[in-house]
Amino acid sequence: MGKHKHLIIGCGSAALSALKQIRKVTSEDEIKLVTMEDYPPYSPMSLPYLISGRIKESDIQMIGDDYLDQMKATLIEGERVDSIDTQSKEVNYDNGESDIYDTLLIATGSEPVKPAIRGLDECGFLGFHTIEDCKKLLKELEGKTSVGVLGAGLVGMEVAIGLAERGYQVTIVEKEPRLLPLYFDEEAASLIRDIFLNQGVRIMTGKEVSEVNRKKGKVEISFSNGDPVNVDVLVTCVGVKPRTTFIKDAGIAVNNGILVDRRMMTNVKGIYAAGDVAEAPNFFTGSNGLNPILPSAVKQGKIAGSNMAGQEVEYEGWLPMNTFNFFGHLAISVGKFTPSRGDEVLFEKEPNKPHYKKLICRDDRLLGATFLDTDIDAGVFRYLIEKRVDVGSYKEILLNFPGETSLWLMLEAERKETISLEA
Amino acid sequence: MSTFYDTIKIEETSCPADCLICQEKCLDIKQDMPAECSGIKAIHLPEVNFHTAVTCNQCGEPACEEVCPTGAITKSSVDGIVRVNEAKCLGCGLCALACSYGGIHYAAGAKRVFKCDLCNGDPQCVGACPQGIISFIRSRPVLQYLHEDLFRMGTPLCLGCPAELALRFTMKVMGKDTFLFGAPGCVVLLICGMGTGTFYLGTCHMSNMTNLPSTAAGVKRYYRKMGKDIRCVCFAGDGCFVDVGFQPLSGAAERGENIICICYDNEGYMNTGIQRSGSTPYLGWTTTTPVGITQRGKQMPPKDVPLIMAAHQIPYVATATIGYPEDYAKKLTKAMAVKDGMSYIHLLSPCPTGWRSSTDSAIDICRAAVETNYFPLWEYERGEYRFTHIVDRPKPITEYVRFMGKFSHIDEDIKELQQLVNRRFAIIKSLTEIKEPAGN
Repeated sequence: MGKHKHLIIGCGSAALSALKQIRKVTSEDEIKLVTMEDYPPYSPMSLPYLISGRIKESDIQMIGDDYLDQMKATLIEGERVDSIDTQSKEVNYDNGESDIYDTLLIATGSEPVKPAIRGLDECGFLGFHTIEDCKKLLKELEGKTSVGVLGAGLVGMEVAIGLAERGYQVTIVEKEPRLLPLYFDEEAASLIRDIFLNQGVRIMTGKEVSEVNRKKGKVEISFSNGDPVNVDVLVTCVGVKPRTTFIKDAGIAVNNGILVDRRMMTNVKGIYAAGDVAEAPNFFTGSNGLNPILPSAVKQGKIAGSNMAGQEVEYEGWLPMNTFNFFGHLAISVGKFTPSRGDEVLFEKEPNKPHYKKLICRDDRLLGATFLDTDIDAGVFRYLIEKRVDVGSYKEILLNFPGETSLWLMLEAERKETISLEA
Repeated sequence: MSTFYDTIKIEETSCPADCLICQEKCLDIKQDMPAECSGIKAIHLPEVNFHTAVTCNQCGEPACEEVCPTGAITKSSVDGIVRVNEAKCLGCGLCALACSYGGIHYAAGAKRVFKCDLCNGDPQCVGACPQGIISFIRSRPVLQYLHEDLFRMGTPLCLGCPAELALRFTMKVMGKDTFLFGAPGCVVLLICGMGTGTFYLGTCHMSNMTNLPSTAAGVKRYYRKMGKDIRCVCFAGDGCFVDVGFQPLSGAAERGENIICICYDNEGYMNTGIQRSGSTPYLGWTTTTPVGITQRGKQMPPKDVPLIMAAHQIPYVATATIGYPEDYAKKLTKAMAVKDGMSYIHLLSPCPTGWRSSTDSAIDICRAAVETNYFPLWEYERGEYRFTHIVDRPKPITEYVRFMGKFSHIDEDIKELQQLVNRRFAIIKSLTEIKEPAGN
């Protein structure tokens, strides 16, 4: 019998996290990663920072040159997976080659959604997800002054910041009534909006784009409601979707993403999925869903890696969370940001100041926390939610002194190990 | 592969309200660090009377490192410090979201993260703390003593027994070229097995309690005759070395046999049902020194066998515990260097089953034994006694007995136990003050 062979499709955060974990458990198994990219591994979330010029392209590499050697892994660059044969345990590439595997991890991440807007192709659709996209945008920007950003999700907002910092006139267009609808509540979003406006960023929310046209070297954005807007360059950041097209006939269950159980395994034994491509259980409800953020990718990759290497480790489920820094401000959201019926909401806001605190609790547990420009340790709040720490009698001081109280509760929980396991 | 590194330890005792000295010291040194991002933070929450300091744990598997999208955060394999490479840092703040312990801070103004870097190995907050609450625990140097593990995975001993850890550690220090001798007792299950198969991967022999050093000495002499210098080590409990096998131990010491005898002292015959031994402490409960109306545990003090062995004037005698592994490793190394006689190490080894202590407390007990002077760490080397670990402020004996049920009946008589501890400590102290006789 030969060595056990792990094949990982993708080379992003989930893939690298799985690689590290497999290697931690087993020193002998063979590990191979395949990526469609021609670049050394990077995270798409660093790309907006290339726009602002905060970081150089050479500095966004996630791993050192000798890392894969250390990990005794091989990386094949520039190969796309065409199909998977789960019977013969074989992966076929678009160049006609193929690979066999004993365990397979699909960590292909996501690709930008291309909205069905008339004229988008003619105006040169510009998504923002790969280093190639980023280079294309930087090239487009040469000699231009105004940029339209379609979509006010985290990517769109980060791109907008990068562009604004470089002196471009930026217009953000969002069809939802508020910014960052997937990460922040209305209050926080409106405070963030004010800060963006102060920085000279134009914001158009609740605007449905009906069509785009190229007119006299400019891109005209027309809306189903209101006057059109002209920009030099249009970049589309309306969200991402799992990159799953290649598995269509493989018999692997796919909803929006690849469905996985708590071990990150698909319905096919030996095949796992992690990261943006996977639809994993939600921390609160246990039902499957997408959560395309980096911390989830790392965690899921680690869980998948453990199980691939023969351990039995279960995922506690993903939690929505993010930290968003913009123009010297910091917004943090961990867990729930809109309450369900029966949830308790604690809230503090100072008028005319970008300062905001909100906690969502149910019974004695914290379910969500949102902060704007508050000196707290975000990870400690994540800990309190994930460990279901009893905050019962301390909700008020947790709101009033969030930094100190969260640390105290965390240290007490660590010390006493009074971590409740009930949901 | 697990590795040990240095770390800052912050005592659980409360800091004075409003004290900010550690934090100020940190900010004083790290000039570019914003106040809210201090490498060590003083935390004051008077509402619940909570006053402490928080800093980076320099985790073994840092969550901040795992989540960093550009690999800007790395844990050094040399000094174990988790550092941020500013050139690669996006300032995305995900690390602060990943860290559960408040060890890394995002500065919105500076758009980057800050964290403790242990001042590159000499953390200044430690000396600055007027309460002595912050200490710098250096664990790395112990590595230089350790070779490969000579035991299989797993243990047949009771849950939480440190004797397994101690023997595993001992053989990691001693290395392969060692002939290990055991006698009936708990750890013999590890050495030779009792229907369980052996856990030890090296050469070993199980002898009787009554002839352990004699057997080892015979094997040693045989090999010497064959022109080989083989290290012969006896590892047995207090039942053997303090009681049943004391005579052969004393005899081998007096004859100058070049063997190493290590007594793991769990203060009783734990293997056979928790009977008293010559090493059972004053007032200690065992099944043969019960607690009732006429008797409250053992009524007489234990033999001080390490002192008795030193009185044999063999080349090397020491006390040790696995709670101070580096101290123990140093002593093993000294014992191994002796070629002209016996070395004896007396190793305190708490017994969760027999001492009625919780299974996660053995190391705490080892440390408390030293910190209360119940079991001072000292060595006797060719005529000279010295302490190897000075306890500046010894804790009261209550800090030791509180860990275990075998002392749970103690009330007023705690004073007598304290006096006994003080007296024994004073004896060793006086021995360490003996100067070499003039003209020698």
